[in-house]
Amino acid sequence: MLSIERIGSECRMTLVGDMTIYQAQALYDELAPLFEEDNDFSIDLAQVSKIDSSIVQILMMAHQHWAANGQRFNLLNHSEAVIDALETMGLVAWFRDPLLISSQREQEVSD
Amino acid sequence: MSMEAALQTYFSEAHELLEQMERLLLQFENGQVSDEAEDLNAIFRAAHTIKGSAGMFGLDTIVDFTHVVENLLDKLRSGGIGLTPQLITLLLHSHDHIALLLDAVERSTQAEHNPGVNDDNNATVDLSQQARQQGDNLIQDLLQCLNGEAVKAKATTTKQSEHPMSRFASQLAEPTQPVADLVERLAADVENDFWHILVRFGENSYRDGMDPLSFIQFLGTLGRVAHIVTLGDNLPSFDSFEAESCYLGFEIQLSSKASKQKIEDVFEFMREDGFLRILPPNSALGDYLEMIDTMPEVDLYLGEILIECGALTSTELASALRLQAQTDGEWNPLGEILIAQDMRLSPLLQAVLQKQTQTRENLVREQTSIRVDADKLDTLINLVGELVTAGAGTIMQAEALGNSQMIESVAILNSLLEEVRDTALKLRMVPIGATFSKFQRVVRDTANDLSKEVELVIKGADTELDKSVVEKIGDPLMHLVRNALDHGIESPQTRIAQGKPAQGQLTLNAFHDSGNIVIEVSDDGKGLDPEMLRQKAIEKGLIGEDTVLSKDELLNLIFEPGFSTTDSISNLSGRGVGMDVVKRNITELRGRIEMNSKLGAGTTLRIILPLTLAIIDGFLISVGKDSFVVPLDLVQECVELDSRYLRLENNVPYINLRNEVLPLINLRRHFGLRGQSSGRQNVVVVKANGQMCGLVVDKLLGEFQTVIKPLGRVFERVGGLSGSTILGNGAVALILDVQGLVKGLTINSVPLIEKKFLIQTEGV
Repeated sequence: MLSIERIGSECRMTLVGDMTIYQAQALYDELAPLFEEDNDFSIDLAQVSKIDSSIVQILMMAHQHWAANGQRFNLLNHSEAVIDALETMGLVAWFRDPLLISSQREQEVSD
Repeated sequence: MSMEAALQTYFSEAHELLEQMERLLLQFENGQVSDEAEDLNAIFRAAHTIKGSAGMFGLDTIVDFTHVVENLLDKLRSGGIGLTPQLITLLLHSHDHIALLLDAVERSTQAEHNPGVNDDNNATVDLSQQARQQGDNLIQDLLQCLNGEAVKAKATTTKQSEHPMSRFASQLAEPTQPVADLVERLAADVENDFWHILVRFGENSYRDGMDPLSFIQFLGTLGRVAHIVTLGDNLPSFDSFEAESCYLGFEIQLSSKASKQKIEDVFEFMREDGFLRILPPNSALGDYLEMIDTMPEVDLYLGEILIECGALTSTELASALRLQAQTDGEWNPLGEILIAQDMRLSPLLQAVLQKQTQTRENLVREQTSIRVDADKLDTLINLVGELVTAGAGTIMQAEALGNSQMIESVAILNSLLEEVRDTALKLRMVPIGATFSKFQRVVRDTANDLSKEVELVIKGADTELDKSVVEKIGDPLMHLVRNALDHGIESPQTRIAQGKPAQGQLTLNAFHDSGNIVIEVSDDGKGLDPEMLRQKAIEKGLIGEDTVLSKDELLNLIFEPGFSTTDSISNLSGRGVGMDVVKRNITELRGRIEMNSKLGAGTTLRIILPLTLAIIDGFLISVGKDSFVVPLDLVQECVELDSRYLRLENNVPYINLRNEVLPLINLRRHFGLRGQSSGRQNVVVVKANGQMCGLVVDKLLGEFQTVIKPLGRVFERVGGLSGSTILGNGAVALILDVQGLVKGLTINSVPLIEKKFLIQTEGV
């Protein structure tokens, strides 16, 4: 579900598969220790096949937290499911992350 | 939306608002006010909107004047002063002046776009000196009513160094960005007909198995989510965050035709521990503010949301926030500041606010009706007319072929066609009420001028008739109403002396009567004295001293040109023009006018008009090779002409129809048609103006749906014809003007007809 990879001061996470209320608690538990860290963060969303608003609100909370501390927090490689959810909730601009509206295939190529 | 188009919209809206204002003021005067506060508000809003929008177009003359009116209205609204009859009169005059200003601007705008027509000097607001003076006087009066309260605003129309129209004109020539932008925004805002949904999900939503996301997705099936803001400000910081609690809320603007109930149902399952507020489209700004005030959002959100609603510009928000910061002592909700500072906000916000309120008021009506271009409707009715003609042709063909199955199916087709025709014609039908209610003001002003007390009673306001008839009936009605007020209703003293109530009654009534619409103008005044009419007519040389006339004939004298009954010529009527014009106008509409009068008890004028001018049920007849159509409702019966019973009396041919004299008109002779009748002839018995008459024709061809086409100018002076129509086989048939024929029979052309008839009868 969540894998963490550290490159220098950046902590890069990857979310995989269905991300819904059933994963919310676990995701929160994994993220909780990171909130104390001083690093920059990013989350790769390319492999998210399903996302619901409970996960989105965790992402919002994380965004608010790190932004308030002046740390960088980016969402990367939004999958279509993520784009759909963010668009439905009117949050695309809220996160301020560049969004690749291009097709899944292009993302797969870049992977 | 271009500047010009926007301006046109403004003009028509302003006129509508003025009408509304007038109507409400008159209701106040008559004490027919249901909700005083609300009606005063409506009057205020009308003035306010006219001013606000005028401001956007830089129409300073209108802004300056209306501003003072608005101040007074505002004071009335807040109960500062009471609405006295004098004040109503003043406001009505102000209303007239606004209308005058509007017309002046409208004219000059048109001149602007037709540079060839007017030179530059005319292309500015062309207010006569008198009108200016009048405006200044009104402003003085208005200011006086405001108790000399300091109205510092640009209160005079004369002091502008720069002519307002020249500024406006330059804007038109090269629309500067802000202006163009403003107009664009206004248009966009006006179309901003969204449901505004505020929803805050309960903490337990996820635990109850609900995902807000799916609610919003489902909402998308009801309409289009135009804008959505996810409210994340309730998200706690990470340490108190619970992953399975829901902290989300949404502001949604939904464009949807669904009912409020339906939208509410979407959120049914979350209502218990969540928060839901739904505002219908076009809610007033105050409602938004109120809704937002109930939410614990920070000010920024309120501002953002208002901007999303299109109700506020960011500059306005900034200034409102500044104001909030200034009131440091106690904390005022932004909404209150905005409302309190209402007057300082740009005209745009005011316009939007007014527009929203106004639209909401009209919402119920608009939902049940659509506006259609009059041209499109005319095209449709034209086509239906052609269709009916073609249908009639098909019937003729089918009958000629004699195929019974064919005839049967054509009959079905025809009955459907008739339904389509009737429905199509009903599309043009409008209630007469709007025309009637315009007379409220006329009656009031006229009665005041004449120092009479008159109550206008309107009945049958929802009676419908053809729009083209409604348009043409206004002038004749005006004449009749003024006549009734001037000549009919007596002064209060006279009335009391005669044991009548001091207040006279003028009744406008409309109702349907077998294919016709009847409009009555009745008063309970002094009525007409046939003897006096007779004397007058002799004086004027209209009749001879010893002419014997029945009472009806005497009454009808007032429709003669040059006949006037009062000795004193007033402003209103009594110039001897009027009734004859009325009669001519109504005859042009293929209608007729009747009069009932009882001396001392009042007069009733009854206008009887056909429902529509486009299609009639006709009766097709032929003389030799030529076909004619007689309006079917005038046809009483048809009988065979038996020359043995033909008689001549006073040189008019007649037959004895069940012991009544039936004068005859021979169409062949009357129109000078060639040929002789072969075989027997028929008499079509018609009745017009209460007079029976027989038309002698060759053949009776039966009923025919007749689409009336006007005759060309060449035939304008031909008597006895009122139009033409095209038969199914492509031939032209002329429509007989039966009224004209009958009239000709009884007055002028009697000797002519009789001579021709003599020759004819010899031929027979």
